[in-house]
Amino acid sequence: MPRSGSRRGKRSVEELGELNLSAIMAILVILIPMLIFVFNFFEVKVQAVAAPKVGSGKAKKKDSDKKPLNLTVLISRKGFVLKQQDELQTEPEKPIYKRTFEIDVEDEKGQKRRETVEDYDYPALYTRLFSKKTAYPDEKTINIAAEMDIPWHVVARTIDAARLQLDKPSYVKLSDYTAAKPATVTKKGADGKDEEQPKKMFDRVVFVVAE
Amino acid sequence: MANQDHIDEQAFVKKARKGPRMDDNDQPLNINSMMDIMTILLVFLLVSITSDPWNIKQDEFLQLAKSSVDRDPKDSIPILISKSNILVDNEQVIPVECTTRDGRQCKEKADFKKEGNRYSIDKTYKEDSSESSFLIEPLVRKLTEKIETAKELHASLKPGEPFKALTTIICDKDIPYRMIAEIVHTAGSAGLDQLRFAVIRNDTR
Repeated sequence: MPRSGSRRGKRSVEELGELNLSAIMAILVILIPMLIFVFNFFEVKVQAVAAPKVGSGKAKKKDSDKKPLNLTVLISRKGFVLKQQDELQTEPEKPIYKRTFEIDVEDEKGQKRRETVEDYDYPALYTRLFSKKTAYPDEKTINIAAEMDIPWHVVARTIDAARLQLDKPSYVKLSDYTAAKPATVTKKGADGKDEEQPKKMFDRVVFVVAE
Repeated sequence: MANQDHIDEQAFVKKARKGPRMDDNDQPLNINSMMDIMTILLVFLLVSITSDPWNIKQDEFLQLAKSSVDRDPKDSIPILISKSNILVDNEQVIPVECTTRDGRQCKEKADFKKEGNRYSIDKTYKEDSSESSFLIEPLVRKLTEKIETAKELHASLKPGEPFKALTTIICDKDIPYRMIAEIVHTAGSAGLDQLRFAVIRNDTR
């Protein structure tokens, strides 16, 4: 008499027993540390920068009536120098020199201590750029120039100071400036819903080479 | 009191006996829950790694600058500028000259970690072998080649849509402005006018 299907199934399960996961576990134990080693524990974002346009300089008639601010930040070894369209300038811009700041530093043992460091005056630069934006709200472009040996991280921080409007119009302390949150504005998103977006200041950055 | 001590002693003996009996029970270790954790971790890591377009590894030759910017990277032609080389799409194009503060060439890994190093591109790679030139010839050739390939790929994948020449510059934080200006000028000459600089997202500015 032929055996019923259900009985045969039961027996094959009994024969197989419990699945041995030790081999798979061994692979996973090797694979996971390998992937963790490859994995980046930091978030990479991008700063948009435009290359300077080279052209005949012919502008549209509409634009020619309106004088562009042509705001330029020159980064030197001593600090920042701001320049703008001569016709829109009433008095020469004072340079923003490097100065000393007191910052909290954490050592290898995790103990905090106060240190005095000399750095670029980013709070003063932001304050000056904010006043420019208030005077010329339609301006979105800023030219960034630097002396040839200025490292990229200084240029990146300068772009940061110009890009977004922060919650206060001016800052003096470096710690207050570094911890400041961007001011937000409510705009309609792609899905038609209201979204809180950071308020832009000079978000079109153009690299220029100073003569 | 003595009776109580006797009862406690009996309980201890019973417990002591119970222990080895449980060890005798030769049940295999249940690793199912461990497997679940491992599988979730594996899937998470694989998704994270594959979603990272460049998978940048930071070492003594490449340390990215920090910024509070919040713009996501896009698919583009990557130019990597480390302290030792310039690469386009993971292919080496030219070496970077590194000179220490005391005027000698960087050789050991430790040399690249020192402060005050000077980084530059040898004039033989520039237009007319001129020190003052901003055009890096091998780089412009490589970028033109990559743009052509990207254009062909774009035309086959998205016919009818205009091609946007975009590049992402993955640059070490200590690279001087001169070198960046040379690379920006060279990229512009090759037709890449929309530039993105890769930075590490930082909450503080």
